[in-house]
This record gives sequence, C-alpha cells and structure tokens, in this order.
Amino acid sequence: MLKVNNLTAGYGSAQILNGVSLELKNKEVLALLGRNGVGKTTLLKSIMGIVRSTDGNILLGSKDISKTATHEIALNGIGYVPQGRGIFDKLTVEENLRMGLRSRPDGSDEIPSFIFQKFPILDERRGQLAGTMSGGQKQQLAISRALCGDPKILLLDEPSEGIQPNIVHDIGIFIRELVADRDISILIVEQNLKLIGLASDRFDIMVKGQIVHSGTKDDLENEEMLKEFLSV
Amino acid sequence: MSAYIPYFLNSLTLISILLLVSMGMAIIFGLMNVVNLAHGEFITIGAFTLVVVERVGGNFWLALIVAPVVGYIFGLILERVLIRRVYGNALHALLMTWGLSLILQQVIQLIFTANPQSIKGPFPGAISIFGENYPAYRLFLICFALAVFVVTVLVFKKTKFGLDLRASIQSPEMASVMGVNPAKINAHAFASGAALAALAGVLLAPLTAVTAYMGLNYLARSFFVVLIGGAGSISGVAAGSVLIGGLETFLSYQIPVTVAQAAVLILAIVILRFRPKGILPA
Repeated sequence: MLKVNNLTAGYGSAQILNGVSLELKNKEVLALLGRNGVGKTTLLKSIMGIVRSTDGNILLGSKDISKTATHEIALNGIGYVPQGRGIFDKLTVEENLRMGLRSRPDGSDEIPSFIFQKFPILDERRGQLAGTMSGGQKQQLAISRALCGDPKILLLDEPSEGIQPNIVHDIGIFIRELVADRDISILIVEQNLKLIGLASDRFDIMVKGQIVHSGTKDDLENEEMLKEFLSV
Repeated sequence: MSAYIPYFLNSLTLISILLLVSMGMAIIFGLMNVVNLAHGEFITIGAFTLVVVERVGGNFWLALIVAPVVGYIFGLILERVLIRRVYGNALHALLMTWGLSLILQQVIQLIFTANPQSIKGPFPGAISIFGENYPAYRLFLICFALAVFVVTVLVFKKTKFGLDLRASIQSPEMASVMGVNPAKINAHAFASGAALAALAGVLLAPLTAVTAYMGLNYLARSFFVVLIGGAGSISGVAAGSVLIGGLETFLSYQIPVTVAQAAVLILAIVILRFRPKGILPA
C-alpha cells in the first residue's frame, strides 16, 4: 500500500531522517513510536510532501510520490491529521469539513453521513467557529475532515495529545472500526501506549531517524524493550 | 443638518474608492504576504483602459466591463511570470514590485505622454439630497462600490474559491494538505486583486487627473487601510476604509489637506501600536 525506502530528509542542513524504511499494508494500523525529536513527525511530513526528501523514495502502490506536490498527494488518497490538529480556527465546523471534501476522488460535495453519526457534536455545531471548540472536539473534527476526502491512507500525528482519557479511548475504538468497515490503512504516530495497544496491529520504533525495532501489539508488554527504546 | 450632507457624501466617496482598491491588496497581502507596491498601477491600468475604450469609440459602461478583465489577465500574467518567484521573501517582493511600478509608470507615460488624459464622465448632472445638490456620478460611484463590496463578500463567504481562499489565508500548508493547489489559488487571488483595482481605476478616472502616476495617490492610503483593518480580512478592509477615508475627509474640512493626511497616518501608527494585527484581523 505505502512503502518508504531508505528515506532521508531534514530542515536545511539538519538531517532528521537517516534512511527510514517502513511498509504500511492494506487495512492495517501501524504505530510509529519513539522519543521526542527522533523524526516521527518529519517522516509523516515527508510522506505528505511538506518536508522534501533528499534521498530514497515513497511508493504509493507502484507510484513514487517523493517528488509530488502536497495537494496532489492529498488527491492521490492520503489524508493527514497533523500534530496540533491543523484546524482552520476562523472557519466554521461545516466549512472545515467541506475543505476535507476537496480531495475526494468522486468529487462529491456532500459531507459523508457516517461522520455525523459517529461524531454527533459536529452536526450540532456545524455553524460554530472551529477555533471555539474544545481540544477533544477539535481532534474529532480534524479526523473527520481528513476522512471527508475518503483517503486510502490516513496519517495521524499524536491524536491523543491534550485529550481527556475517555475521548482517547473513543478515538482508539473509532480507529479500529474505521479499518474494519472501510478500505483504509492508518499510520499513527503516538506516545500513548494504551491508544496504540487499542488501535494498532503492529508498531515500528524510531531512533535517530531510523527504524530500529518492529513488533506486534502483544510486544508492548515487553517492559525491557519499552525501557530501552522509549524510556517508559 | 443639510450642511453636513456634502461632508458625509464626500467621505463615502473616498471610503468607496479605498474599499475597492484595498480589498485586492488585503487579499494579496494576507494570502501571499506580498506587499505589492505596484498595486497602484493596477488602478492606473484601469483608468487608461477607459481612455483607450473611449478612443476606439466605446464608452464608460463598456470600460467598466473591460477594465476588470484587462486587470485580471494582466495580474494573472504578472503573478505567473514574476510574483510567484518571490513568495516567502518579503524584501525581494517589495523591491520587485517597486521596480515593476516604476517600469509600468514609464511605459504608460511613453505611450500616452505625461499630459492628463481627457475622460467623458457618464453622469454630468447633480441630484438634490435634502436640498443640497450633489454630483450624480459620485452617488453612482458610492452605490456601485458598495455593490462590488457585497459581491466580493458573497464570493468570499459562499463559493468554493472563497472557502479555499480563506483557508489558504489561515494556513497555506493545511489548505494544500486538503488538496488545494496553492499555485492556482495564489494566481487567481492576485489576478482578482488586480481586477478590483482596475475597476477602481475606471470609477476614479472621471474624478481625477488621469496620468501615469495617478495610482500612487492611493497606494499608501490603501496600504494603511489594510494594515489597520487586518491583512486578509474583508471586514477589516471595510473598517479600515471607513476609518482612513472618513477621518481624512472630515479633517480636510478643518485643517489643510496635507496636515489632515499626516494626522490620519499618525493615528494609523498609534492604532497599530496597540493592535498590531489590525482592528479585524483574518
């Protein structure tokens, strides 16, 4: 589905990714773990074309998207929920969701009904400025907006950041339901091991811009491994 | 009461012109962070479109349709060829648009000479309002500018292009993550700004001397309108236009015009000291 091969990238002269390779398979949830500053967010940004790679490639199916413009990557079926959510604060909830429709392959301008069924608060607050919502509601909006584009791949960067524990649990359940019900694969960067245990099929651990360890969610019980790579 | 009507209507005339000129500048500044010092020349191009249209047998009404189209096409070409090369570098953008402004002024002067061009106004008469006669053309200008403002607001609020534009002004990166092509939105926004300024040029032409430098008079004022109102904010432009245009006209009746203009600019600086993002930022 999505293959990253020996990717290097960074900001100016600072190289952050030092030959990352990973594969996201069809209808799976892959978690990317690692301490702060190891390059997890940079990797997601590189996949989205926001940070340009300097070497290696990114294959979406058989197509190399490492030199593709961000808006075209979105149109090719990759949705992205950044750290901090990236909500358009001065647009209403409905306008935010309508922005998500821009990348729909079928060109539909109808907000999918399952969004409002899953998150009824978004329906109730359609006309409210998004910037005035709570952190949890903004996260629901950010994920819903990405799903409005009907992506084949969803990149989630720290969806639990600043969210109440009960909503984090809801997000975990929602991710599982999404993969079960829809033709979608999810790459999630997350620090919250409970959410990873709930939502993901397997994980990769990054250290200094490289993948150094991989495992399934059962391996999250391995305290030595967690201590070695994550200081948990 | 009736003695104040000309004051009020003259204020509205200047506010209307500033509104038209500044809307384009606000969009360009808010979206691309480009201070376009050649924006005044779009006004000039609009006015000279009227000159050309009248010379080939057309009239004011035809120019009112042709000028925004000319402005739009000119803006589109300019953005594609030059402006997009300086996004992200405010100093380069400033120098490039300043150079462009000088070149356009000289080219227009070479073609049309330095003499003011003669224009036939569409309405020669006056209309009596509460016993005071006021030029019919100025009243038309006020109504027309208001209508253009309402249409612009509707485009901004109710169309896909407007939504893309507002999203891009807030976060160009997230807009492109949504699938919006930033190059396309920038080009059309710049061209739309040029079209609005060209439209203002046609409307302004019957009221002022049409020369290659006529746009300069409005460049600084509209820049202050945008700064005071808030870059990228249409409601901010309205607030800024009312403040700058209204105050300048009011003070011009009390003190010498140049002192009035200086006083308005000082007030603008004071406002920016306390509200650096403007009165109604985007």
